[in-house]
Amino acid sequence: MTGADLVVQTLANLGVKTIFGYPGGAIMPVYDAIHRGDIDHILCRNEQGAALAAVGFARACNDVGVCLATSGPGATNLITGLADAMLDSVPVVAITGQVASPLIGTDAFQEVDVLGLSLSVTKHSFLVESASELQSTLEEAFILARSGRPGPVLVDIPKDIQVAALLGGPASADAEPAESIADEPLEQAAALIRQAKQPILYVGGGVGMAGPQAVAELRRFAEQTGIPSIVTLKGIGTVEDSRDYHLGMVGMHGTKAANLMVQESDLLIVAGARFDDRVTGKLDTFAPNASVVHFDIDHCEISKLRHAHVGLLGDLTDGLKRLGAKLAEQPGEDLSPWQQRALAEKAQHQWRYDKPGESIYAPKLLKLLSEQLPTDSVVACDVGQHQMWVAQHMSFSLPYNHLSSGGLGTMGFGLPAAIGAQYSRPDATVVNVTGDGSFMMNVQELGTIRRYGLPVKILLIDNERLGMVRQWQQLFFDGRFSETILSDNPEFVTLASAFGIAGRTITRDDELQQGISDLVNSQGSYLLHVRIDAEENVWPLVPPGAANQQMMETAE
Amino acid sequence: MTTSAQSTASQAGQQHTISIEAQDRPATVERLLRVIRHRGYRLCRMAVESSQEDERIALSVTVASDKSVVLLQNQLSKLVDVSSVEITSAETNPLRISA
Ligand SMILES: Cc1ncc(C[n+]2csc(CCOP(=O)(O)OP(=O)(O)O)c2C)c(N)n1
Ligand SMILES: [Mg+2]
Repeated sequence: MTGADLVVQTLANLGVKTIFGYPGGAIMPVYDAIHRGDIDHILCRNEQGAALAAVGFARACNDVGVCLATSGPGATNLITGLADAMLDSVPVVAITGQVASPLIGTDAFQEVDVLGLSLSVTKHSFLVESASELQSTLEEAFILARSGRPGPVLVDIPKDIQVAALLGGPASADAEPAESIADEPLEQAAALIRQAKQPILYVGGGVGMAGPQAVAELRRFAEQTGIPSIVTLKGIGTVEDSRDYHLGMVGMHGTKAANLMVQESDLLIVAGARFDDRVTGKLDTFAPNASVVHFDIDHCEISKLRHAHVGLLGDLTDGLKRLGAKLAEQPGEDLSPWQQRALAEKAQHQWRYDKPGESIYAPKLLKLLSEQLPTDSVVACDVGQHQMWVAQHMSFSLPYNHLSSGGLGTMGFGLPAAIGAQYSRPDATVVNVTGDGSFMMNVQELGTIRRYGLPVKILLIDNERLGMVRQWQQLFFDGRFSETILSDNPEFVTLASAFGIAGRTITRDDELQQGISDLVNSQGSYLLHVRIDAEENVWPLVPPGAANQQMMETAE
Repeated sequence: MTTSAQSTASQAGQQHTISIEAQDRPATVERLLRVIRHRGYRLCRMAVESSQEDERIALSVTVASDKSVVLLQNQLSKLVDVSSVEITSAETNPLRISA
């Protein structure tokens, strides 16, 4: 067989059923092999769409997503998706065609130094230099993508290697198991937890990535210890929203209860989180009196931004279990005053949905949608105000159900991510919640929905603005609305209809129920276009450079 | 493992010499240099020795930064091709991290 056949066969042997890509000259032998092989290839309409579909696929099932592109412009179009995967630690394998080995370095047609380009947006990358290392390189790429802290891995394959005659063999690429956490630091962590009177469990995306067992173990640990919890944007869904002592999302657009209480904590138990600036506000004012116990799989995160008194490096599920056992044997301080405080803060700062007027209030829309979706639905959002409203007002039963571009904040993420998720979770209802700005960034993927008849649902929240930027212009740039007014948006429902997608527009609060029901109950793909007030803002907001307790709640 | 960014923080611009051993693959040196620059360290001196037979490469780099050199050691040791990163300068205790 050829190198190209080996690529397809190895992917199949590794259990890959679906890949997302776009053909071109330097990858044509692989496309020829796809034509005769037995892997489902999904043609996206821009390589960025293919990369983000692979991200959505991966995040919804917590396993590797695969994308494929040609050299030059195909590879450069992948880059944003790889950067997204890098900053959110998503296991993705990207395969790119490259000009033939003898032409590398000659400025050949569609030659770009993809290996060089990949360095800052991948966990690792390979240029395959000889046909004999092709299979082992692909296996290694999968192992790296899913082991330790997951991330994107790129394999660049020159065309001569794709046509070389080769022999393939059985392939395997299991994740390397995480090492177990040493006993001494766990003992130290237990000692700190026993002394704490105002501890907070600070939960990030790493828990979900450690697997459903880690999520279950974390929930058990929270239940056993009664420690109040907060989540990051990527941690949403890890702790049940119904938990009494769960305070919700922390950070720039977090809940008041979470932001106020984290600031007063005397101990942070960090699980798979990384003190991102959107979480901490001004770093040296974040939880100023707290000691830190930090669970992570990446040793670079321990004490990177905030000194950890105890670093717990390794297998989270097992570590939490053993820490829980130590605390069961010898529990700590009575936390009831702190727990009562949590209940009181939550009660005092509940979200309100009773906005006066005829127009549609986006938080209410999302709350109603959340209540009407089946519990195992996947929501892939875009970036902006609507993304923060999803995080605040929708409820998720698992982290794999909330796909949000956290680290990179990639506008255009939602539609291709939803497409990817629909493939890894074919039975789930998948909804893309998008904004009028973000939707247009990868709108070509409506073509993918049409081509494969996907039932992806789209909720477009239209404020005729790049709303999040407009909000900052209003608050921090004296209302100079530079290039954020989109009053010339296309007719979105007509646009969708050109792709055979049904839809409707709603503008008034009394149309909400029917609109949501049309969206949720549609058989195929559906676009619900919702007009909202342009001036609506996301509250609360920790302004840039402020401490988390200094939240703004109005524009005045 | 207990690491402290503060206790090992170096003074502004303090120099440290680091020995790195890695597999010699396409882009290995670029990867190392990119991490050094991007994480906020200035490259002062560098020596590279690569041996074709065993595909290994050894580097000695002297960097300056007001950030802790341990943070750089951590980031370098995370690279897939890197097998060891040792801080060899007199200012800190030799500390070896195996990747
Ligand atoms: C690719 C990309 N370009 C620019 C930005 C900066 N940005 C962040 S939010 C935003 C506005 C998003 O507008 P829209 O999708 O309509 O959402 P809204 O905030 O109005 O809900 C912009 C331009 C970004 N995050 N990503
Ligand atoms: Mg908008």
